Amino acid sequence: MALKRNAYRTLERIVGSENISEDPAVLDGYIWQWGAEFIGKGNRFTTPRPEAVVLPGTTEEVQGIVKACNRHGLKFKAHSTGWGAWGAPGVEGVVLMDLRRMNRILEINEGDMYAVIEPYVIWAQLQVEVMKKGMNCTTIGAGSAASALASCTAVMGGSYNNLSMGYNDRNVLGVEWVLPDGEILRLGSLGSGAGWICGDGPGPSLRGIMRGYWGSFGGFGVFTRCAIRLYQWGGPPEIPSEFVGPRRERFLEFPENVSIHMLTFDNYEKRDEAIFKIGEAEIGYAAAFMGRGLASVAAGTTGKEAAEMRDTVVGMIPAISFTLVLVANSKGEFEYQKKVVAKILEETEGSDFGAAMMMDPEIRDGRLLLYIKGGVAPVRGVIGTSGYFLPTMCGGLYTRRTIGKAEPLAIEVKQKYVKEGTLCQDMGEGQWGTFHDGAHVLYQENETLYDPNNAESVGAMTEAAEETMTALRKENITSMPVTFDEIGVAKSLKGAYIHDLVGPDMSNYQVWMRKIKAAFDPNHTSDSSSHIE
Amino acid sequence: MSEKEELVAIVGAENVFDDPDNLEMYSKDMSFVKPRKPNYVVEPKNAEEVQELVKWANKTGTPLIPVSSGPPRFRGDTVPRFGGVIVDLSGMNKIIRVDRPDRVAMVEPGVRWGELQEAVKQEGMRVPMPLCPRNSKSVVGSCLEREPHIIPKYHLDHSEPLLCAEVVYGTGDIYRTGEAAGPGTIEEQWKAGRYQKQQMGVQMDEFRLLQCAQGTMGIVTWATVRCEVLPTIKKPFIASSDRIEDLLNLAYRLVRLRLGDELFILNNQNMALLLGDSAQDIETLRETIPPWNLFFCIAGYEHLAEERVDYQEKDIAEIAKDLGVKYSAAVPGVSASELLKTVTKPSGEPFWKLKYKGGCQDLFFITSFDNIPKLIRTMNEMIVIKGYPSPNMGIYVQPVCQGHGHQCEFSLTYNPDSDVEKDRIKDLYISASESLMNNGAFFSRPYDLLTDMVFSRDGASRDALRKIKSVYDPNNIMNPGKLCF
Amino acid sequence: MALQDYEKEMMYCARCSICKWVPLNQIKSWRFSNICPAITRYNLHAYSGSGRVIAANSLYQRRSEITDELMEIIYRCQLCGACNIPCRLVGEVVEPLEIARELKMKCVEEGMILPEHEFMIDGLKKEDNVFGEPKEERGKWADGLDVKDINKEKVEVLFHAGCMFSYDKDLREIVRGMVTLLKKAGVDVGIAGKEEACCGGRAFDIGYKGELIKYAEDVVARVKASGASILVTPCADCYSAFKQFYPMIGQGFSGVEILHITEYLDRLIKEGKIRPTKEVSMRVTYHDPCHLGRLGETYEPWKGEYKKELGQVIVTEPQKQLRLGMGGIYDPPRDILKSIPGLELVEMERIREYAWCCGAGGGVKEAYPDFAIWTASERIEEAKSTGAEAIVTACPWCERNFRDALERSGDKIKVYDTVELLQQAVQEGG
Repeated sequence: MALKRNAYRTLERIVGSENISEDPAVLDGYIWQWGAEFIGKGNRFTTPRPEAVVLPGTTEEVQGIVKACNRHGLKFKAHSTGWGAWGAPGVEGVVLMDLRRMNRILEINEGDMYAVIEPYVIWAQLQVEVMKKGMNCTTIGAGSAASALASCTAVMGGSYNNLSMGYNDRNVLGVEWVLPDGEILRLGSLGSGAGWICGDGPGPSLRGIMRGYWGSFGGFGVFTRCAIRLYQWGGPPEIPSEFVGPRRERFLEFPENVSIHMLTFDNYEKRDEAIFKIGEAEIGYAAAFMGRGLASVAAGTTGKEAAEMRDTVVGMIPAISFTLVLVANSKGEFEYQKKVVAKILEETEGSDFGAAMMMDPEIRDGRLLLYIKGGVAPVRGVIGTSGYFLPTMCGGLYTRRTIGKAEPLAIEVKQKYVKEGTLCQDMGEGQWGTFHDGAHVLYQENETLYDPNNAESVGAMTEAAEETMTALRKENITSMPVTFDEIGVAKSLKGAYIHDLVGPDMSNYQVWMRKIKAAFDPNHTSDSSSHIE
Repeated sequence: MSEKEELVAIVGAENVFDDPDNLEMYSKDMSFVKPRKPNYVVEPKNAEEVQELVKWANKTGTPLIPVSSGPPRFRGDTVPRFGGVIVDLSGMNKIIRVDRPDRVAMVEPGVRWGELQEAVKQEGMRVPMPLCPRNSKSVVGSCLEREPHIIPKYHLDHSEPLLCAEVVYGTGDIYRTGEAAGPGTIEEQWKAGRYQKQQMGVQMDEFRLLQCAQGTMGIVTWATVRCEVLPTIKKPFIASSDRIEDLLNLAYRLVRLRLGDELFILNNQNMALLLGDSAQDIETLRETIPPWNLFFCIAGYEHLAEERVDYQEKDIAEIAKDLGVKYSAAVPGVSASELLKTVTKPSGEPFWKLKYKGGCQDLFFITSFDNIPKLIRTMNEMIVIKGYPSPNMGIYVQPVCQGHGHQCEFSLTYNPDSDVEKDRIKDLYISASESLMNNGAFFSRPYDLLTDMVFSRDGASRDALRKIKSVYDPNNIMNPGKLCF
Repeated sequence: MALQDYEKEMMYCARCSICKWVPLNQIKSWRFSNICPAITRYNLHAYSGSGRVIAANSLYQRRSEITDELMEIIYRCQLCGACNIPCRLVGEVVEPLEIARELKMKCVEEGMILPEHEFMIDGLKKEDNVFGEPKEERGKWADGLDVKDINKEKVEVLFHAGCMFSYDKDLREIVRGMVTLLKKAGVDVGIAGKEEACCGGRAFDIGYKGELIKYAEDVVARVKASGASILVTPCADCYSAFKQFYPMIGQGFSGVEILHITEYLDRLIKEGKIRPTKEVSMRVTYHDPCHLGRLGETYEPWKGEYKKELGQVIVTEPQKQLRLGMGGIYDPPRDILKSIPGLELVEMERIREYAWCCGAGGGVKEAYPDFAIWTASERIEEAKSTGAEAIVTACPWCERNFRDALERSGDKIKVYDTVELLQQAVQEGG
């Protein structure tokens, strides 16, 4: 369905002729997405195409586009680094707003430790600039080419350094938001002309409608700027590494007061005890679970190497472990943290596996770079190996008594499919997870590698995800509807599929979401097929 | 049935009050909000009764004003603007659960700070608390008012320490926020090992809409709060200076490096108010105590507690030396231990802010690090213009949100029995707030007379909040006339 | 070659967008974090490596056709290979560079040709060079140098000047200096003079595979006839054609070592046959030409299969070459610069395998001069940020484009060829 010419001309006048396209092949570039294969049409192109893609360069242009859409009966969807089926339209008649031109770091404020960014600033860019000033930010597990603003306002994603910096739901201060009706809402102090310092108020915090654990995935207006919280970074202002290919990066100089530990245990109980002790001891910069099968397969430079590594390396790594990274601000702090780790290991009968392994620069540096910078490694690991991945139990948040229950359930389901070979045989473990704020809450997902171009593999992935969800929900273990993940979103491209399924057992949250959506988007102009409808 | 009879049917006769004394008590507080008597005061004892009350209020178009803390109240939020029924929740005062492994406590609105701290202490925990709340202050009330607490590293977000909540919305629907929403009932969740710890909603953080709402969205019937581990060693210090800038710089470094636990800055007047007994005592103390004081406490926990204290002490010493700031276990007039003991429990009677003159008007806002000295100067200029004696003003600066911002609070003590002083304070309160706002102060928690001024600066937020209000309380029966509703 | 040959490769693009960036852990600033000139300039996803792969797939699946707009997008690509490097860090299946080139070939097949490129091909056909300059004049740059003519006698080393050095008068002294240095070092070097023809590389990069095949045959035959055991070229584009394109089409130089001039001169310096002793006091930064660096490694054609191990791990049988650019030429030019007394070499942020393109390649300079200049200007900004007085490189196309950009901007920073500076450092008779 082509855009009416007057609508097209209006949009063209707003952004300039160079910044709008209706060309089918160009539009296809936005709908070739992760998750499209689950819709059931056997293609990696989602449907439908947007009517057009526009690239605004300023908040005013964004506002103009939104108002134009309202006027012309069109819908719009915000799209930044745009990775996943939610980055594409879910319904007909959508103008896709590619925010790539809005890519500046507007301010780095040391006194209040925040940076003001536009949507297309990626984590890698932000991190490198703030590290120069002795600060750091989270970088999500998906890798540092993802949009920092999107992670804080509109999407989701855990980071290795959630341990010390929290989950990104809480890492945002003032936000500039173009609402679905085209009006601009500035959250917190920003709206009162008092700068970026606070995202809450006056009165009730409107961050409450902006996002929860998940964001609105581009379907509730457009976030055009935000202040993102930064934290103290005890490491060096630059971490130059030698580019010698994947997995073989080396630090030019190993940073002081930094160490990485792989802590292993006989059973989940002891592991979990150690996690919470470490959390309560308030040590550690970053920490994560990483299944050994996943870690070894994901570290291969080529597919062949990945397959070999699973067999050779995995035998060396104990199954039950997590990795902890220490970054201290002083030698005294560093020594203290190391001693505490040693003491906790003693109490939980754990060990710092392969201290020698960690001394091997090849393994140590690659791993440490992953935990500090993210980089390409996450993408290499879960995409390069089999073509794509989906986390089962995605979105699951756990606490002290539930983490140990969820994981074995998920593993049990996965191992069934892994044995068949329809999913990557990463030993069926493959969990990845992070610890929030001194392990007050844990996040875990089970990375499962599948081939998106193989119908059998896609089918197995779907079944594994759904079976995991059913098992977890039956036990009431998780607080999150775990199929509200790529499958749920992609399969129907309608948030309603999931919300109506799980909402009735969750205080009917979907009823309230719909009312809020209706209040703020009376014309249904925001394509909220990944949000609520 | 008459109105009263209908209320009696809901909460029981012993929990409905309409005698003059009670109505008088709830008709006003220590703010400058115009007094107005409620029609009734009711004291529900459980969420079902609260829900029935809300349904009844919708049916009859009667305002409901939730109250959870005891007097004296200061902010005007519980004064019924249009009459109606005071819903006093102080009788819902169960500590429902304290869970050490998950570091969480679940409380009803009537639970006060003192009793909660005692209860969690039995489990080796503490709940980070605002600076010396009054004895009658409700924990849930503090949380809902987004009152910052005094341990910056634990102030993960402005919402802390609130986690989940059960609320009866203005529609009469019961909702539970965060993971408390489900799946399962609360009891089923407990059976599964979940203790309403995880606070985020699926795609909305509903708990944020309840905070600073002054009861205009609904009535909270329980909340969970984040607990932290109780230290085994505590070593408090005070750094003093004539210049707040020096202390701000030291505080900045400590907060940024997560050194120390409790940390805040007080001027001499506030210190004296906290520690002094009588007005005379306070005046003497404040002459002795240095103008500006940064309090911080180093702590050790379960593992290698002494070593923790040791390295932190060394690191702090180096930082302070770099900055040229001196600190010690005592400053003239105050020992750090004494101060620590005072600030880690609620205030005694009378409430510390009222000890000096009997009345106190607080003026507080969030601002940026660089702006604090300028705003203090602005305030000092205002009090001169308005003829307020500057020694009487308490100043409290609290790093919030792990150092992402500061709350600045001015406490204007005055004699509430003097009409002259009251008028001057009221005038000063309004004028100073306006001046501060013009200079970048963000009044994130607007109360009483400041509300219109605040919302007139941010029409978009006001409009957004009204939309939200129309969802959760379409008939505007929840504390109407408050905020922008 | 056809899109069909890349059917599998097109299906595995993850749309992770990593092709737009310097390998993420190597990013040193916000300002210089982009790696792809096209997406950085034009912003629509279709301009990126991933966007081109997806567009190719869209065409292949008959979901779309090459429109005028798409054609412009396809041609606005220097084929600098930058997208390939970060993509390779993710996996070994997708081939953004080859697919981007394939799109140009498809345009040519369908008659969607830019007039500027038509002019280049006409020139090539008529005069054996992409500028359409008279073939007769090709050897004029060497007048008076007294260098052996391979058409008349055998040589050990054949110096292939390339079209740009042959015809661009501004660069004449540089190419002359190169041969002079070789001769001074006692190298038995010869040139083909006016009989030299284009390597065919540029034609391939604007979609003309036939021309590449024709000129490859010609060059290989000429080298064989010359008796040379070393083929040296000062042009990075030609170097890359010899090492990448010729193997792609099954051509090869049997028993001949292919060297870039910097490789050879570096060797000669290390053997003591060239001695830079004169001080050249300057702070410089080195620009890695795409075709010498990441596109300078030897291409190993792959005609294997994709198989699975461990259920779903994709492996290549036999192992496909992992083209990370690590086999390119990065150190010899740097070593030359470091051997020059008084010269201070500082590095830009985007270097070696992940260097930013000069902007000239892929037919962009001819068809989209503004885009070419913009790309060069970005690189010049980066050079200036190091505090360098000069940007030094090892490719005449880079040099031409940088000079043109500087002429437009009026910036004071200078442009040199590596060998120019070496010449300055070599004493008369030294």
